[in-house]
Amino acid sequence: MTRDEIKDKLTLILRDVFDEDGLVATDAMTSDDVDEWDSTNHVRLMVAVEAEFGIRFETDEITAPENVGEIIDLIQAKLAA
Amino acid sequence: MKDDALAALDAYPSLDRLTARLVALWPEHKDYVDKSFVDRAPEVTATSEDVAAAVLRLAETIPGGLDGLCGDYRFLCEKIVLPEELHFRRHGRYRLSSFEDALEECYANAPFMARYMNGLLVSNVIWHNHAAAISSYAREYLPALKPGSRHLEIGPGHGLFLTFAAMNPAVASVSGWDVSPTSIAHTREALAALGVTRPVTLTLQNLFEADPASDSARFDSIVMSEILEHLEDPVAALKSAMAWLSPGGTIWVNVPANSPAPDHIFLVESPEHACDIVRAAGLDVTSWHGFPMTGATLEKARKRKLAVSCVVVGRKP
Repeated sequence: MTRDEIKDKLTLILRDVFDEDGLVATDAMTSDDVDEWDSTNHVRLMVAVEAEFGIRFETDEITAPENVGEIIDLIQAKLAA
Repeated sequence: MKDDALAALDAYPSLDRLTARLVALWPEHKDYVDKSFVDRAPEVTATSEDVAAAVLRLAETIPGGLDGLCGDYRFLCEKIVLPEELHFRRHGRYRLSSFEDALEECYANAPFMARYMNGLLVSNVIWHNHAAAISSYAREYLPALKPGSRHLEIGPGHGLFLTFAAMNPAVASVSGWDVSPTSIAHTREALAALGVTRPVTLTLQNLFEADPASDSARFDSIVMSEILEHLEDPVAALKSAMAWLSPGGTIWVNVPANSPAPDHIFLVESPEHACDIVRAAGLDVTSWHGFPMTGATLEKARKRKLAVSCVVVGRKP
């Protein structure tokens, strides 16, 4: 799966988790850019990512990414493992 | 604007001091704290000021003081709740389901429990759903009690709710039951630190072992706040409590829905589910509230299975 394909899937997840149909994901996007991106919704996001991509994060990996780009990096690493 | 919420707390000295110190120690939490106060109703904020004042007084009795409390609150959020939230989101259920497991993992671990309880103390101010539930208790439930009411709290913990009850002139007697001698001692110390001077009868008593047939005492008001989610059979607990209520007496229940924690073993899924539990015990539901977690509406909380503090008042027919 290419990085762009991952980003496209992740964008749909972000829109669903945060109820923002017009959300456009960028690598630099952080929780500061999305009003409802708090700790609980972040967990919802990462679990949705697990389900979509068939991967599993360690507990410390859940909170490690600081922006969307790092989430994509983590997904790529998990898919390659 | 985001910064206005915390700036407006200047009018509430205890809230201002507590939130300022918390944010100074944990800057990354500022947005959450701000979100918690930006739409907080004035009466809830006023109650939160009273709770914050109590927290600050209790902080003087706790090792590490206010900074220690704030550190334990952060520990609660990051190390206790987060792993449980992860399990809940993955599996749709709480991780533990038996009291024995919770006893082994949590209640038997005194240092862990101390940090956990300290963290929850601060959450009563910071988490919007907790703050709103306490305000509902202090400003709706207690003032509606009839003069001469005999009041009991099951599991009084830090004594915050007992303190509010003790301040209410309609309450003729104030009692607390707990199964743990350590907890009873802590509650007694907390009440002293909070300046409660009227008599409060604290009894080492297991609700399930109390025999109403052997004791003619009855209560007009019973509080069970954040108790039922720790029990395998909440209906049985309510039935046991109801046996101690005078006819027409009321039970104030505060139980969280969709709120994973290491010692939460019974999953309440909604305010309606909480009401069903109260009715199943034989009580008439006279009122209920669903207070969603910080930053959520009740509608969104229902849709996303986010935490909701469910407050239900049940009356004994």
